[in-house]
Amino acid sequence: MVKYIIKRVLLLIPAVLLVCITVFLLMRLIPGSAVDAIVYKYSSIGVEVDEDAVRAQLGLDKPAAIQFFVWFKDVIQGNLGDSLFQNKSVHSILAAELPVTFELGIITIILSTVISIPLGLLCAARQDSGLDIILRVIAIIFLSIPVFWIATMVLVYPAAWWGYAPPADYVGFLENPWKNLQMFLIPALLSALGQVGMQMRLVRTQTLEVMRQDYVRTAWSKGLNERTVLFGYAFRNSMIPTITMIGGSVSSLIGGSVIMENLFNIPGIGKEVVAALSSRDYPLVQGCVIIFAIYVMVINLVVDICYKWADPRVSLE
Amino acid sequence: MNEPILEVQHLKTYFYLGTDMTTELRAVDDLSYTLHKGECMAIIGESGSGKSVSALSILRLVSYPPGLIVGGKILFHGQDLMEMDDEEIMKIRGSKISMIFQEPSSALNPVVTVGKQIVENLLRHTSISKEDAWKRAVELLDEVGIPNPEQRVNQYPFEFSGGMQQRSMIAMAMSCNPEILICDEPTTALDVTVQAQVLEQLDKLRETHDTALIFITHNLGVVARYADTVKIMYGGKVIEDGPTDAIFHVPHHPYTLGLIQAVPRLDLPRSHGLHTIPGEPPDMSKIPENCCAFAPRCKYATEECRTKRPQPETVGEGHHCSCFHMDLLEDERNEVVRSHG
Amino acid sequence: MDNRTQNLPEGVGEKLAQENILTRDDIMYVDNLKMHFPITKGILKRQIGAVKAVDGVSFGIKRGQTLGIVGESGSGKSTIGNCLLNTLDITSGDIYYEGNNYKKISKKAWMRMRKNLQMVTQDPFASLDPRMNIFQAVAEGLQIQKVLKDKKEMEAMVVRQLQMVGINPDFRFRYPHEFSGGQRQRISIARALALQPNFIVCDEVVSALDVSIQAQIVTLLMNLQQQLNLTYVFIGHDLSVVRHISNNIAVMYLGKFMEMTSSEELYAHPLHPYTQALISAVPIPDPEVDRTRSRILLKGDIPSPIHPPRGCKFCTRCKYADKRCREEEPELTDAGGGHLVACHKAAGA
Repeated sequence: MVKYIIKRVLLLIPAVLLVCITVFLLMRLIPGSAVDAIVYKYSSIGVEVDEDAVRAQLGLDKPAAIQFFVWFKDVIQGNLGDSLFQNKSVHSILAAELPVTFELGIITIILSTVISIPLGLLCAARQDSGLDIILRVIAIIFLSIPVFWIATMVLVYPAAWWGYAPPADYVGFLENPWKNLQMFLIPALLSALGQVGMQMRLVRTQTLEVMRQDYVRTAWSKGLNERTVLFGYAFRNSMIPTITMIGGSVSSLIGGSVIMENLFNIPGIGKEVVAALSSRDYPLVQGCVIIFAIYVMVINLVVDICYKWADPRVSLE
Repeated sequence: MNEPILEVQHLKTYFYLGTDMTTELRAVDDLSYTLHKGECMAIIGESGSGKSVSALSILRLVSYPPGLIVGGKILFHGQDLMEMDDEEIMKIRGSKISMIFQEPSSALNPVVTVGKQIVENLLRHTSISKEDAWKRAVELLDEVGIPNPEQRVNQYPFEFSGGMQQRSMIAMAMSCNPEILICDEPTTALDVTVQAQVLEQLDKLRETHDTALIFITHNLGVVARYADTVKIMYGGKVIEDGPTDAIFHVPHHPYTLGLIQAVPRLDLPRSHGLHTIPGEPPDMSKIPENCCAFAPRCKYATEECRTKRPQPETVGEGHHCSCFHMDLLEDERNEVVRSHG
Repeated sequence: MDNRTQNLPEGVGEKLAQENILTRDDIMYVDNLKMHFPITKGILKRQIGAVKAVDGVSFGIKRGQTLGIVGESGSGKSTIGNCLLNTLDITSGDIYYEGNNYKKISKKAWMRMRKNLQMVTQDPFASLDPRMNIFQAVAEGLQIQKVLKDKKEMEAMVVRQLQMVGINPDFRFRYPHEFSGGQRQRISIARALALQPNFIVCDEVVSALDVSIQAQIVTLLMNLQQQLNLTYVFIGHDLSVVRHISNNIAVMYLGKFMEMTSSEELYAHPLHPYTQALISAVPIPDPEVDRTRSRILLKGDIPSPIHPPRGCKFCTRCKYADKRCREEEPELTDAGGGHLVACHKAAGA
C-alpha cells in the first residue's frame, strides 16, 4: 500500500513535466502576448512605451526553449516566478487564494454527498413510490438547469425584491466563521445542485442494481432487517461507482469554481486564473495550471485508495 | 417417519408480467406437501418448472413485483408463516429455516469477510457475545471442512474457491442449527469432484443435526443418491411424488419415466440409447388453467388431458401421481426397468 | 522410436518418424501440444508467469469418430478445442489436420481449409448475434466464404440446414431471442454445418440445457455424425454425457491427459485415481445401483494452473501419492490394449 502510494507520487513528476511543457507552449500559441497587453495598458493612459524594451525586460526576447528552461529551472527550485502585472510572486498569490477555492470546493462536495446519498438510497428503497418519482423529477431539473443561470437568478432576484445580496467582501474562516460561511454557502449549494442530481440518480440505480444481486437475497434469507440489508449490503456495494463519480466531480470543481467565484466575487484561484489568462500573465497561469494538475492527480490517487477501502477485491498494483 | 415440521398446503405463487402486469404466470400452482424432521426431500424439475420459486415462497422471499404468493398455507410447527408479520418471519429466516443458493460466488456479499457474514447471522438470531460469535464462526468453518479456519474466517469470498464458498454458505446457513435447510441447486455451479465433497458434507450435517433438507435440483443422480422422498414438478405443479425408490423404479407419470430415460447412465453400455422427450418445456405464461401441462409433449395425451386438470391419485405407499393415463404406461415401464436391469 | 511415439495410435508413430504425417484415417493428429498463456505485469508487460492451460498433450482422432475430453474447470479442455481450430498461437507442438501442419500451412491454404473445421459452444446466446435473424445467422458463413452466389440456392441451403437440425424453416426470419435454449443450440449447430465441415469441436454444448433437451441435442449430434460422417471433439465436464457420445475419452487434469481409452473401457476399468474419483463422483440415477457403488472423495480443490504442483499434477489430491509422484511427472503410457494412463501407481496394474 505504502509502496503503491510512493509509486503513484513518483509518477506525478513526469506528468507535471508534461503539463508544464504543454501549458507553456499553449500560452505562447494563443494570439496576443503579455507585451501587447502591457503596451495597451500604458497607451490607454497616454504613455508611450517601447515594445522591445518591455519584451527584453520580461525576458520574452529570447527563444521560447530558453524561456522555458529559465522558467522551469525556477519551478524545480520551488520558485514559480512573479506575476507580470501584480507585483507579487505567483507563490504568494496562490498561497492566499488556494485555500479560498478549496474551502468552496470542500463545502460543495460535502453538501452534494450528504444530500445525494441518503436521497438516492431512499429512492431505491421506495422504488416507484410517489416520493421516488418526485425526487427523480427534481433531480432532472437540477441536472438540466445551467449553474450560471440559476446563480444569476439567485443574485438578481433577492436583490431586486428584498435588497439582499450575499456578502461581497471575503472574510477568513478563522476570523469570522459565520460571515465566512454566509459567503460560501450559497455558491457552494448552487454548484452542489447539479452534482446532487447526478449523484442521487447514480446512487439510486446502483443500489437498485445491487438489490437484485444474489447476495442481497441471501441477506434477506438470513432474516436481516431492511436497514441492515440497505446499508450493510446494498449501500456498501453501490459505493464503488459512486466513489468514481464523486472523484470525478471533485476534479471538475476547479472548472465550477471559475463561474462561482466570478459571480459571487470570491477571491479564489478560479477567478484569478481567468483574469491572468486574459491579461496573458504567463507565470501566473502556468503556476495555477501546475497546481491544478497536481490537485487532479492527487484526487485520482485518493479515489483509487477509496476503491481499495470499498472493495477488497481491488488490488492496487 | 418422524414428526412433521413443515406443511405446505395449496401454495400458489403467481407472477404478473407485462407492462400493465396483466399476464399471469402461475409459477407454483397448488403445491402441497409435508416435510418431516430429518427428511431429505428433493424437488426435481426443469428450468421454469417452479421448483426454485416454491423454495423461495416458503420463506416469503419472492419479491413483489412481479411475484406474489396468492394463496395457500405454510404451516411451520402448525404456525402459518403466511400470517406472520415481517418481524416474525425475519426471526424464522436464517435461524429456524435457512437457505443456500446455486451460485456461491454471487450469493456471498463480496465486500464483507466470510466470518463477518456468519457472525452477522449468529448475532441476529442468538444472544451470544460478539467474541463468542467469532469463535463459533471458526468452529463452523472447521465443521464444514474448510482448512485453516482461523485464518480463513477473516478472508473475503473472492479469496475462496467455489467449493469453499459453498461450504461457507452452508456454515452460515447451519450457524443457528436450523430445523429446515432449503438448498436451491447447491452444487450445480461446482465441479464434479467438488460437488461430491459438498453433497457428502451436507448429508453428514443432516445426520448429525437432524436437519430436514429441501433439495431443489435437476440432477436425477444426486436425488437417487441422497433423497428420501421426491417431488417432480412440471409447469408449476407436482405431477408425481413419492419415496425415492418408488419414483425411480415404478414411475407412474410419462414425464417421470421420460426423464429417467433421458439421462445418460455411466453404468449402462453406450449402445443403450438415450430416450428423448420431444418438444420443449412449456412457456409458463401460456399454460391454460385446466389441462395437463405435459400434454403437448406426451405420447399418451388425449382430449381429456387438454381440457381437464388431472388430480393426484395414490398409486403406492406415499406415492401419488397426477395423470389420466397411468395405466397405459405399464408396458413401457416394464420395458425400461428390464433394460436398466 | 522414442517413448512418446510408442503411445500414439497405431501407425502414427512410424509415419511421424518418416516425417510424413498423413496416416490412413487420422483426420486430426496432435503431437505434444503446449499452450501457455503468459501473465504480464506493469506497463512494460514483463512476463511473471504463465498459465499452462495445455501442457504437452498428444492424440489422434480417426475420421467419423468422436474423441471426448472430460475435465473440470481449469483443466484446459476448452483451450485444446481452440487450438484444434487454429484460433490460438500455440506455444509448442504440432497439430496436423488431414496431414497439414498448422505451423507450415500457408495463409491462403488455411483460408480454403478453415470452413471444414467448425465449433459449437455452450452458450448459443453468445454465439448468435441478437440482431441477426436465424436465416442470416446460418447464411453468414456461406456469404463470407462465397460458396453460393445464387440467392435462391442459398435460401434452399439454409432451409435444408434448418430442417436437418429439427427447426421449422418457416421460422427462419425470426430472431434468436424468440427461440428456447435448446432451439438456439440447434440453430448454432445448423450454422456450423452450413459450410459442410467434416470436423466439429463441441465445447460444453449441452451443459446449459435441461435434462430432456440435453438428450435431444446429444441424439441429434449423433445422428448428424452418422449421416454426414462428421468427426467430433466433444468437450464436457459431465462424464456420463461425454461417454455416451464418444468412442474414446481423454480425462484431463491441469493441462495434461491423465488417461485415454475407449469409452467402455474407461468406465469398466478406470486406472487413474483421478478417473476413479471422477466416476465415483457422478451418481447413477438409480438408487439401488448407486447404493452399491464405492465412493471416493477427493481432498481439497483443483490447484491453480498458474502454480501447478511439481511431479504428477494430481499428486496433491491423490491418496496413493508418494515421493516419486511428487517429483517425477508420469508419462502417458500404454497399460495394455491401447489403454493409456499417466500414473506411476497404475502403470503396473
